[in-house]
Amino acid sequence: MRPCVIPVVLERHALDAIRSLQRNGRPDFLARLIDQYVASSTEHAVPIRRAMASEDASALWQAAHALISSSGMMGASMFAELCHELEALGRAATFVRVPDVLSQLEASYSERVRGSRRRSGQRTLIWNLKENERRRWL
Amino acid sequence: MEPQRERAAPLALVVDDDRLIRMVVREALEQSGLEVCEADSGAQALELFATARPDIVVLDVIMPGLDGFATCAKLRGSVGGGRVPILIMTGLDDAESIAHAYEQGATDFITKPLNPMILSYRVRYMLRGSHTLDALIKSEARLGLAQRIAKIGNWEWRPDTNQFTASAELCRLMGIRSQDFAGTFDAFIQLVHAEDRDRVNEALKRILSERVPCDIDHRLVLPNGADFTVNLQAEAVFDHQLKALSVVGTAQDISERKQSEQEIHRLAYFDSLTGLPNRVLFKDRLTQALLHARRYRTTLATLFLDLDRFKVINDTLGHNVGDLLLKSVADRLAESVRHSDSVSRSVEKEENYSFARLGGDEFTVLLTNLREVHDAGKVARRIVEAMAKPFSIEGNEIFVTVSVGIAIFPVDGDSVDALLKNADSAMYHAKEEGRNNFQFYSNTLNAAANERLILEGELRHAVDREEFVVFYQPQIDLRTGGIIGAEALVRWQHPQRGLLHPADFLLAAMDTGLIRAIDEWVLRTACRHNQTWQQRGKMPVCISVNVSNSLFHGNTLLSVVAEALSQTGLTPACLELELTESIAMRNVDASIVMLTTLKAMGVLLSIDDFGTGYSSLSYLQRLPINSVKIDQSFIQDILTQARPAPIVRAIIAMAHSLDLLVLAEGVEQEAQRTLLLEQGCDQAQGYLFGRPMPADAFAALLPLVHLRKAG
Repeated sequence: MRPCVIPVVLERHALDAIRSLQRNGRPDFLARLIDQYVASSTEHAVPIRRAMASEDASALWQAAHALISSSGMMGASMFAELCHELEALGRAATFVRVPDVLSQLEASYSERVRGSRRRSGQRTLIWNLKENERRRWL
Repeated sequence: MEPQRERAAPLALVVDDDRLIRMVVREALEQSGLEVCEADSGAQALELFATARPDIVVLDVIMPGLDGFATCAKLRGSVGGGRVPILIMTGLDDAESIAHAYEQGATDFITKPLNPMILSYRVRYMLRGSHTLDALIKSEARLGLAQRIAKIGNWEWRPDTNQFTASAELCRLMGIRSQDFAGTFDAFIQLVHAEDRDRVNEALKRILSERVPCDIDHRLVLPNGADFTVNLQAEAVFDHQLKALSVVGTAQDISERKQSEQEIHRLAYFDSLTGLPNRVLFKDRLTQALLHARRYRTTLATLFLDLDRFKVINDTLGHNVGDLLLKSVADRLAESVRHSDSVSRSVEKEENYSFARLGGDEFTVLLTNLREVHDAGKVARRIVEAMAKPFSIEGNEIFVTVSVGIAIFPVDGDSVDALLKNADSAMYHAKEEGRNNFQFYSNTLNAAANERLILEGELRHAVDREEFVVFYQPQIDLRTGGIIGAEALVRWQHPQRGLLHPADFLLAAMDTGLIRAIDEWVLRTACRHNQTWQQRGKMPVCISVNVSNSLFHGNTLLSVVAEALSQTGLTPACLELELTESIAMRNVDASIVMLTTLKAMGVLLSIDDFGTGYSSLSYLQRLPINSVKIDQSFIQDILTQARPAPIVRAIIAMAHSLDLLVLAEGVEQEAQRTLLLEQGCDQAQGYLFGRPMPADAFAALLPLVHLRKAG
């Protein structure tokens, strides 16, 4: 199985807010959160696909919703927005557009943009889920 | 389990199924100094809440299983969950959830994505609010308890709306349920005792008008009609412009204190055995009475009583009987003083006597506003006589006598101590005189009292033996100068002292009530004399007889007059009854009935001493009288002073306009006669025409009108 890669844009203001919670002499809080975010988003990607395949509306919105709060917290607005859309579709039990939205999620994965660049005052981090790569970007 | 209130840091319970969110919230709150515990579901949150007793709950809305709304509602319903602040985390676009959250009892909400800083500020703010509320509730509970213990209720009055808020304790004091209290100023005032209402109203309104704090005692009336006393304290709470916003106050139940005060007062001022005032109160009353007597120059008496040989009774019959005897003595003492004529008659409204038990078998009596010193002797005699009757105590018939000493203000002393001391020493004198009697401190008074006693005894005999004689003073017609009648005047032919004028025995006659018998005797005698003269061929004249108050307002006058007329056969118009204005005015309606009846019998009626007493012309007009007699004081001065002449003229004019004849008394000089004649006066009496004289001498003055039938 190819590595599950989710391209995420973490907005700077969210990361700044998280960094403000860093206390001296304590483990890197942002790093811990990112670990947690990676773990949970990986964890929830599987149920989303499974719910779509079995057209389980309730499982779909709950899995999609579970990613919204943490994505928002991490400043992954666009990702959060897509999850929100999936949640709405799940709640409405309309599966017609689900593959379309899911493909957008997948598409962001396929872009695989690496590196860091400055764009309109926004620091964008893109990383894949491999541990060694992630460390490089941080 | 009591909530764990005394921990170092407040504890927050964070409830979210998303571990990442829990991590962020924990980190944010820990940095704010809170301790954090976590739950990943509603069910776990409820469990943890019950055991950990957090100070605040941060709660996610959408969770598998029990969602945030249901969890919130359950927390509110759980033990200790009623007041804990609950912060709901919800999506920004979720207005409906926010409203729903409040409905389920949420304290506040915060939107996702979370801003850690805002979260920690909000949580701390909510903790502060919660803490303040807790402190307030605790404080109110403590205050409520303190108020209940102290029986203090508090209240607030808003004069602008007339709203009156009463605390639970005040409502409890007033005996009404909070929900039954109308909550207006008037509703409160209605609960105040009617006699205190104006005073309370005024005091509370003065807080506003004069900014004087109020501190008064007044009574509140309970729904069952009983009343109790509260101390009401209040002051105004002003706003910045010094316009009163409200009046806040307290009402404390002080009925127990009042009762204690009364009890203390009773113990301090009254004798517990007899209930009479004690020495302290008696001295206080005597002090007051002395101030009054000095200012109004009145006479007062202090009587000092001591039971004779009380110790013997105590020693032989025991202290219990002795105590009971003292109680009976106190009762009999009060009764005998109260029923004393001289005490009750001189002052009508205020009590003018007071008693006390000084201790042991010593009692005192204070008599104020004495008409004459002799009245004190009369009261003392009455007391001595009252005590002489046997007492029946627990089957024992006890004979006890009393010795009384009397000191008079101002002659025997002008201070409390001097009067008490001298009354005491007079009492010892009474003991020396053989006990069972009274003595004045002053020997002069003792002699006078003794003399009076003798006089009264002799007067009684005089009535029995008819030792009185009637003298007649001529009355003339001013125009003709001819004799028209006489005034009958009583004299006492005393066996040792010779002929006595009324001035020597009138007071004694009035005090003993013998005056009526004397009056009746004079009336009968005058009628008999008059009829005898007429039978001897003398010109018929009218004889005036004085009627005393006792005779006029008694119930024998009509029968005495009727009897005297029928026994002698005298023409009724030859008898005139004289009474003073004050006697006639004492009971006007009864007087009119009496006078009308007498007039119907044909008897003439006149008002004596006219002009000296209280006169009411409207009443005078209603009295069926024939004439008035101008008092001699006006006549004496008629020549020397400017004033009496116009007064006499006015009296004459007034009397004539009422169709009354006018007689001038005390005419002694020719010039007076001339003047009176000029003024139109009808008749006169006085030394100028003749002094009071024995019946035969007067009869000699009367001309014969016809010879008796020969043979």
